[in-house]
Amino acid sequence: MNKLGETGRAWLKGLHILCTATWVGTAVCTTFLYLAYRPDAGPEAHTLLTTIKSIDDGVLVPSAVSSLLSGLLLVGLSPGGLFSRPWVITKLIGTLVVMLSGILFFSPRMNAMVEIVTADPQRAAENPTFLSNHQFISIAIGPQVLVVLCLALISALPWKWGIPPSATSSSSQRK
Amino acid sequence: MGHTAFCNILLITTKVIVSVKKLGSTSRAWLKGFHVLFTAAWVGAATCMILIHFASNPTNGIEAHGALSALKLIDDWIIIPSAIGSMLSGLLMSWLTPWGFFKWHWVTVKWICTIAVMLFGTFFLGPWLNGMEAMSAANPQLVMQDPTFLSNRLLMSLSIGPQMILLLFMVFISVLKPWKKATIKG
Repeated sequence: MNKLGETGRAWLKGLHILCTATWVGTAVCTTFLYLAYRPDAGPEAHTLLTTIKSIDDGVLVPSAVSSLLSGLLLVGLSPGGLFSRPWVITKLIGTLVVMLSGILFFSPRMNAMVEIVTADPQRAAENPTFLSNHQFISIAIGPQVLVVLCLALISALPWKWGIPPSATSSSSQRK
Repeated sequence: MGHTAFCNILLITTKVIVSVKKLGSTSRAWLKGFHVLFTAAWVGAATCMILIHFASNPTNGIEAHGALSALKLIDDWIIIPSAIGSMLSGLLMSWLTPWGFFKWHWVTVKWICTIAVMLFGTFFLGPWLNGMEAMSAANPQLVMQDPTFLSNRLLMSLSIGPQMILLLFMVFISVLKPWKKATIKG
């Protein structure tokens, strides 16, 4: 496969950073809104839950998928490829773990909560399934967003495993 | 006397700013990492706000207040701190690394855009949003007929798009680093 030129790579990198930035910022927003959500504060409070669900479906999922795809393209079309550097593999594994946990653990619980709230907003906060889902997400959302932040930070930090310190230093001095 | 003292202070401050030792590559990378994280939070939160603003189609004041409360939470707790964090980390990067403030056209353009976006947010978007949230909290029954509320909503709808485009433009010029190096005379 043809490798990308410098300009093509810069555009793809820009797109990857943009998708990742949207993912990271949306994850922070979702976490913050979720921690501000009080199910026992009356039926109006549930509006926040439907807002979080629309952010999840409309921004979080598309930006996470775009970040993964643009990242794969970036390493796939760059010299060295996907498995040349341990920090790239770490980022890929971390991204897949975060996405799978979102698909398998977070989304089904969130969808179930929204269904319960839509069916009966007055008594949703008394439903045991709703409460157990709420408790799970409240506890797990913090570590999840922390992993997303760490994944974003890995790319900027100097201790990119697999790259000699001189190479890191010279690339950071590029002007 | 006052004038001389002021000139001396200005001269000393300038000398201190110029003589500060530039950061090493490790500290510089950490600073860049935090700058990226703050900017990411800013961009993502702005995208969320656009989605909530345009996707929510409130039929009554209570629904409008729900959406506006979420927007205000994001604005107060994520947009404002992350924009300030991004600006301060950018300031340190310009000051403590060889990038500088005016050596490169793209850095200067980023500074102008950042200041423009932050000033517009502080003096226009923030007050519009806070006003709408307060109106919907005070009178949820009639807020959807309030002309001030409706005009604030329209102004927000018209301005958050260009604001977002400017943010995306700043992200892209940071990566592409376009234009030539500025020639400083003297």
